[in-house]
Amino acid sequence: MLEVRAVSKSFGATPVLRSVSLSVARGEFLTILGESGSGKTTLLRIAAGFERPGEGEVWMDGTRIDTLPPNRRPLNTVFQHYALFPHLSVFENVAYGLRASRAPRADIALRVEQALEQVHLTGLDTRKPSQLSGGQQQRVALARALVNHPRVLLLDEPLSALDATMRRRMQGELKALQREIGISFVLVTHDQEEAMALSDRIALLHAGTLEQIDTPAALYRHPRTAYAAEFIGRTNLLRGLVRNHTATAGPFIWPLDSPDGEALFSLRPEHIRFSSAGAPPGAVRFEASVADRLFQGSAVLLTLQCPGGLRLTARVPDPAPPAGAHSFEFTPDDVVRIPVPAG
Amino acid sequence: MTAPLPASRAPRWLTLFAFAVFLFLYAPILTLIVYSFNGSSVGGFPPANWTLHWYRLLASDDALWSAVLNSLAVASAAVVLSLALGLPAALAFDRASFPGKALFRRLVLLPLILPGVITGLSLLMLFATSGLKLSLFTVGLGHGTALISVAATEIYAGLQKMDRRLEEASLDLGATQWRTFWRVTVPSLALPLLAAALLVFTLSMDEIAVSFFLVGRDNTLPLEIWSRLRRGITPEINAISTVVFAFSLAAVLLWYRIRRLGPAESSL
Repeated sequence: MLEVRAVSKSFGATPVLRSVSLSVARGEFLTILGESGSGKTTLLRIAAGFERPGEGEVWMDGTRIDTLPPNRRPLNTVFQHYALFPHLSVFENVAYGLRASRAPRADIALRVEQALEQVHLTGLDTRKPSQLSGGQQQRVALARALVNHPRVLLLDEPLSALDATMRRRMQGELKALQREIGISFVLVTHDQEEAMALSDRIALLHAGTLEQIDTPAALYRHPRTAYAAEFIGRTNLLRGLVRNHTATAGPFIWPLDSPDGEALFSLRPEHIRFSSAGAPPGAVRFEASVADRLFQGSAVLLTLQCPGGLRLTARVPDPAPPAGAHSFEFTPDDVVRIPVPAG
Repeated sequence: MTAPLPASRAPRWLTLFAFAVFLFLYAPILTLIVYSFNGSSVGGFPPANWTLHWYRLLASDDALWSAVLNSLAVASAAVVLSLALGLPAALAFDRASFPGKALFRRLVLLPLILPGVITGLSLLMLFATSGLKLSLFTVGLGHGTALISVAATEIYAGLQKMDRRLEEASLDLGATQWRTFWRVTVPSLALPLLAAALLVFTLSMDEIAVSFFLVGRDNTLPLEIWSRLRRGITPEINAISTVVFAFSLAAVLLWYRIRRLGPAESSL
């Protein structure tokens, strides 16, 4: 449906995107996730037409669109901080696109009302944007884009201006809305929890490069780069090597069917647990003292001081035993090997 | 971190000095206003019995009123001309990038510091060589050109504060560049445009130097006042000046308020 082909972009001498390719399927919720400066917003602006790609092309349903001006692309954008027209009422803001495309008058009133109903915002037609709360402005911005029936909706950090409670609520509504109307959503965010909660797939961008594009579960369970492992959730990265079907990392040794060589291992905090009698066979046991604890509600985050100076983070259910030395373990199957980049 | 000096430590003479400057600035205007209500036409201190006589005389002075109308017509033309040319110039400062842009900008803003005599004289020579007869039309043309720099400066300041994403949103919603300009850019600039119009109008209303070179048979108000002065100061001159002062003051206050309103309105 929407396809980005080998797009690169530099601002002056600074490369912002390096040959990024990705495609969005019909009805898919794709999130472009990255820190500030990762190029995620630039990628969205290239899709919308506010920036031209330095190299590469953007296609949509078999038509090349990177050469078209933004007003002739069959997609709409929900802007960060909304960019509502301050001099127009809620109704006129939503009607803006329909008027620009010269839709019949009767149609406009009907479709604007429908769009406002879709985002649960009725009875405020005559208000000006400055008279609305952040959440209401967000809904107007959504309605203003959706009323034009775009085939793809682009959303640039749409929830970043909202407070935490409102953000969680809008996340739920956004997902429900996307299921209901069934068009593709492309969301840009720096919030990995938001990305995990909403997306069918996540495209993880780092320093202008696409690190990995996968379902949230696959990205979490099988990160392919150290950056992906650390950015999505928390993890312990262990440097080690594999030789003769045996993995070694710090004080740990376990059998592993994997090609020989240097390796990085990702061990999630929730995969480390207190040793018990009923441990599965092959579990790796170790002694460690609890150096620090962070209460998180349902769980406690422990900083473990292991022999040999290694520090690990473990996530164990609350209540956790008191500080001191304890015996811990993990299952080798939970450890993910990440290829060490050449050089 | 430097804490402001406590008020008591500010030397007393500084306060007195500030007061003196204020007096220096406004005593003449105050005198002008007071003597417009003076019953005696000779002057002298203190002013004798208060009267509105000069204002009544003013109301029935046809020559003066036609000068007022002339000035209003010239100022309106100057506003239209300077905005019509100042807006594109400001847009070019803000958005276009072309070789020689810095030079272009300085050249457009030059009339701001150029003496009115130079502007007036050069326009006079231009009109003379092109065979244009001097009239209120040439005065309006002159004011309009001379004040483009003022209009462009005001509008440029507004453009810099404007949220560019509004225009992107308009394009994104399928509007053409042209439609975006009229439906989003211009409404967003409503306050700066109004402020520029007010400022140009006020400056044109009391402009003398350029007008002096370009005027034909019909006088503008400042020229009318000036020509009457040659026959001696009458309290009637004081009266009309007081009225002009009141209107200018109102216009400048309004302009100032609009400028202050600008950023508050746009930072939603």
